Amino acid sequence: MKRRTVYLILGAIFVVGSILRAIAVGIEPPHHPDEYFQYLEPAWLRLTGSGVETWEWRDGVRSWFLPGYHGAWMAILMRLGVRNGRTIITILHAHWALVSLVLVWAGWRGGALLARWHERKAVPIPVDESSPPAGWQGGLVGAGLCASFPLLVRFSVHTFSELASILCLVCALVLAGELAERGEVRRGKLVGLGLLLGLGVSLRIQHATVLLFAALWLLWTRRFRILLWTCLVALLPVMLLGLLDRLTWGEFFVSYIRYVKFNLIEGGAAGFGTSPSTWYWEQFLHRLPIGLFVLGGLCLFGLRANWPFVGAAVGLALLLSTQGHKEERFVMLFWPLVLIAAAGTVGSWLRAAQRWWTWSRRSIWAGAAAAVLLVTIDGAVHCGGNDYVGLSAGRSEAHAWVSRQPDITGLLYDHPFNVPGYMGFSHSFPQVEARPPLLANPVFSHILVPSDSGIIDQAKRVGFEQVYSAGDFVVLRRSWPKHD
Amino acid sequence: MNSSSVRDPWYWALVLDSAQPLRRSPRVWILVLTSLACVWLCGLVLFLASPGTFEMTLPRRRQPTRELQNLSRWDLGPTVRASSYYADWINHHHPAFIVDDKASPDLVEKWASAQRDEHPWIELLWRENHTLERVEIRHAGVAEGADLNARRYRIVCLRSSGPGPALDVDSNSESIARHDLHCEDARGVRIEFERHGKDIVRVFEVETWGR
Repeated sequence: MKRRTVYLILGAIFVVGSILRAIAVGIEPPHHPDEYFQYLEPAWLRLTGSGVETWEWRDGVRSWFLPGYHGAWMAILMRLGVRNGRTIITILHAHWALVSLVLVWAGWRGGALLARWHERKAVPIPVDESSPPAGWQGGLVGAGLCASFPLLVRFSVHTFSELASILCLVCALVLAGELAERGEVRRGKLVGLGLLLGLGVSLRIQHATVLLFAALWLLWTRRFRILLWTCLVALLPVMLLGLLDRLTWGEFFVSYIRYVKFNLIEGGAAGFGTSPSTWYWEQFLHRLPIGLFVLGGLCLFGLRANWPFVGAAVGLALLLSTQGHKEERFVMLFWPLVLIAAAGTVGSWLRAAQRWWTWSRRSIWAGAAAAVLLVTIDGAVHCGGNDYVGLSAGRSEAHAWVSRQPDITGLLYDHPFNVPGYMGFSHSFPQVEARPPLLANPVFSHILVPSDSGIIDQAKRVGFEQVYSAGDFVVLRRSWPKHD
Repeated sequence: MNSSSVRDPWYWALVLDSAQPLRRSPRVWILVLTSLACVWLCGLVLFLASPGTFEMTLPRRRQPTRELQNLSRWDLGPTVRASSYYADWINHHHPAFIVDDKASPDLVEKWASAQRDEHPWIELLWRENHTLERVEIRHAGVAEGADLNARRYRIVCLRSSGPGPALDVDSNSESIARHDLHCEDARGVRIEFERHGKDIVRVFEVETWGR
């Protein structure tokens, strides 16, 4: 295939990835209250004076890095006249969807790298301007999978630290492989690797298995000098985030220390619910009941080359399985790693097929296309729903409706966690869990509760009337007497 | 690494001959990323410079009369400003509660300053000028322990032209504290609290009486 054709296909994959992510920005419901309360609301509170301050932010268990990053964009948007919190959230979702396209780049470079790595012997190909990069077959498969794998597309719009960390670490592992492959100390790539590794792990400490396997890869290939420089550069973002803690919480690394202590040492997260140790594997099977075996088989076939990717993915799942509290977002890094690993194997077969008979070549191409389609379709069929069920579509619609009401002065709701915070409501009204004594407070003008809530009848008796419903949720408004 | 190197282990993919460097135009990307970083840094400066002051204006549901009345009552449409408020998921002590005029408030229906706020203050602003006669503050003691009452605070009359007469309270022990403060052409009041040790400030109601 001509170089130009390969790049045209890659461009088309980027376009498809962009379209899918644009659709996700439009239709993807909230994944978890944390995406508001941990990464957006603190910045909104800092900017507007209104916002829920969760215990993590009162006790200094979180770094200001990601809320500060979001806050800077929010400040720019507000200066430009965009003051509606919900609009700003949508813009930030679009921002992350756009940034997440680096996974397509990582799929391209990673798939090509692993497809090349499968070769045990040098395969000299005449270098000319029209030949595509070696391993392009794996690159295209990797890019295609990372662009279109439905769960990744869905997750790419959320403002979680997991997503930012995934983007950093998957790119870092690809760069580590490229440096291991060539062995030359290429300054730009090395600095990029170090910065991405340091930042990715700082954003999500549990993702450190990637750091471990990147280091092992460089050690295994005896790239000691590269490893040393990578470690030194990786310290830079780590130290900067430590300094940020000093400036915001008063002590170096204090949010990390408290986070690790609470979540990993004391097991405090178990207070939010526990699941059996097999939960993540059941979740993988639930998401990809057939495709997982295809991916698994491809990963195993290519283990000689893709072990850093597979090792980091399986290591992450094993590490997280030791923790009592489990959520799907914690393990989302598993998917791009195994997709790229599988793409490498497919790419190596396609690469080898170039030298085979025409019919064999066609069979391999057909098999590869079938595998990619199977994984994508299986993923699409089973990508719906979330493990966190509190933020249903009906509830989100009701939130959106409430946020558009200009006369709202106070809101009573059924559950204090399952709301989008002050930013998502775009108002600075008081918002409290509904209790009968609070119905008498004239500041509370609206109530948002499930349609079977016992408080509805009591509310109607003191002057509330139903004005909206969405799914299983209703909104009531206090009716005011006419005045001059 | 060279493809003919004898040090290469068996697992090593000898790929240099086939791996062409990808063509890139780094200068364009560097330019784009640098521009974005500059815009973001401007946003960061704005973010850090933001005062983060709370403000909420209630809708007016009736017109004020000429009689002595609580000018900050919720239905007259006051604006409430505050340095901060205590707002976790469960204990949500919003500034709007200090004008809700509830005689028997629930424990949640009070304004409490944030733990991080070393110099809490609150302002009540009216829609037109009035003559202020007195300020009544219902402290924590009306529903909680009297030891949580704010002891030291300063009440400042606010005029369109700036601060007016002020009153310093040094040792309040009353749960319902009444402070006479005459002020013509007033637009509102500001109360600056001094925290007692690590206690946050808790106020259930502020009434500003005048004509």
